[in-house]
Amino acid sequence: MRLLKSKWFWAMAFGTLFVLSIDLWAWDWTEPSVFGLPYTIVYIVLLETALFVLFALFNRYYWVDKEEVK
Amino acid sequence: MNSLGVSFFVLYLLGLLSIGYWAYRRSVRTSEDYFVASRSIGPIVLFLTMAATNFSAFTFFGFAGAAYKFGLAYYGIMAFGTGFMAISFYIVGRQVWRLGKKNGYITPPELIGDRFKSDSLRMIFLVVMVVFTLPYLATQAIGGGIALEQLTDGSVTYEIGAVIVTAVIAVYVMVGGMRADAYTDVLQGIVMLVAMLAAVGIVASGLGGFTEANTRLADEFPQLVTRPGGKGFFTPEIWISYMVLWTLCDPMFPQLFARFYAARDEKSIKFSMLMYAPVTATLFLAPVLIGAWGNLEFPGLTGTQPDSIMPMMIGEFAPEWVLGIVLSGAFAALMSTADSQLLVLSSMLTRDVYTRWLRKDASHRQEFVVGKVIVLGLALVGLLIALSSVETIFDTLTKTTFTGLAVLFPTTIAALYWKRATKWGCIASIIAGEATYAGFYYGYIPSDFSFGFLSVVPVIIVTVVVLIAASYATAKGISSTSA
Repeated sequence: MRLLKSKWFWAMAFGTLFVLSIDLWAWDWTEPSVFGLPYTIVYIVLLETALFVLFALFNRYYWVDKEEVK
Repeated sequence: MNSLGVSFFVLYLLGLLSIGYWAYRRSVRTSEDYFVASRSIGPIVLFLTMAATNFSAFTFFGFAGAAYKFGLAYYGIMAFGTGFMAISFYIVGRQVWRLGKKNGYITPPELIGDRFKSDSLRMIFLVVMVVFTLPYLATQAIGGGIALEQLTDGSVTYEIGAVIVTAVIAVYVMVGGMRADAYTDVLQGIVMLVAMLAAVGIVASGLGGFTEANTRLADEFPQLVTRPGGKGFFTPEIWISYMVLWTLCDPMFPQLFARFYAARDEKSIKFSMLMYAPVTATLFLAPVLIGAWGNLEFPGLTGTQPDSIMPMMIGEFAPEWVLGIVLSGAFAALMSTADSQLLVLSSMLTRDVYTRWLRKDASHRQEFVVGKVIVLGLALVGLLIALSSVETIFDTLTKTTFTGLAVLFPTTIAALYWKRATKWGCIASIIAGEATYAGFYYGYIPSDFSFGFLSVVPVIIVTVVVLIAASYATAKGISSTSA
């Protein structure tokens, strides 16, 4: 839990997600996967899911409301 | 005439006007209530009004047209880029909300000007926001005119269509202010989402099913399902550029910036941030798929033709009345952006010009009345731009809106977090940023200097360097008025 209250952890987490979004290692994969959607779409949906989870944890553990500060 | 589609659209307009009247009944006659709904907007409404305001007519027609040309890779930068941008709700939104509540700020330039005790900086910030927002407002009237002309098969002309759409927006914004603006956005957001999902379902069905459509696209146009996309457009440099552009520009749209003031509490802003990822992942997929699939039915479109691929595909596979409903979704997208732009421009001209320079002792009641008059005036100006032929300057400003506004981001961050920043540092930063961008845009600076990135990247580097250098050069002491 202490880790989730560190600004460095969050900078690393969001930074890593940004780097992952560049996705150089699979830049030209075209094979259809789920519902015939190509890899690039499925990968972005996974990244969006990871972003949602990160935002949920960030809001829960790092972002302290002003009322709570008082 | 598409009678069912038109009837649906008329019902939709009546719904908007009813919400405007409801908001009027709940209003208090002060500028704070009119412009930021007395800082009372809760989580769900705040999220929907942020999203509906952020997603304009471009979300419908522009995304589909771009996906036609560049392929499914367009989904990534729009969906993930916009979802990631929501991190600025913490970096910018949280501090703006706190300072707004503490000091009674209503407009973005008020906060910046007060932080640095500078009317000059406040005016520069105001001018940049107005110059890049007003043409964007007019594009919404243009979009409304075109869509209504399409919906009625030309029975209502483009000009009359633009007048009708502008008049409805002006009425409910004048009557109900931010409360009407936010609650109509709820209706508009729902219409937009339903229309998008209905459209993608109908088109997929017409192409033999979702999987079949995607498989055909991969077989017949393999370049459109790769990450670089058609014409190899999305290089890593372009990807990084768009990530920078969305993250820095979106919170600088004055209509989004002002919504942070309207939040009831920080939980409301947190909820908006959380929901941006799932809504962009879902909503943005529909127009991108329809646009890319458009190559299967209408190959070889050139010029501006791909921008019409969405109505073309729906017209191909759906009964006429369905096109009416989907076009109502487009109306929802453009009207929810235009009403917010109208209100925030009015708030800035009222608070940062009228009250600051013309009548310093104006009461909140007087600001409330002046604000309504300015809403009407701005609606007329937007309409005149839409109906006139001043296309050159207008087109230029519209194309440059995103980077033009992103230049304000470093100054905003400095105002919120950096005690050593000075007004001269911020003024120099904004001027240097806009000048550099103009240099790239008009070709005075060779595009080689952007090293494959969009010009927003070098522009922001210049803006940050000048802000830091000029602030250190002009620092006399540390300001104590920051958050």
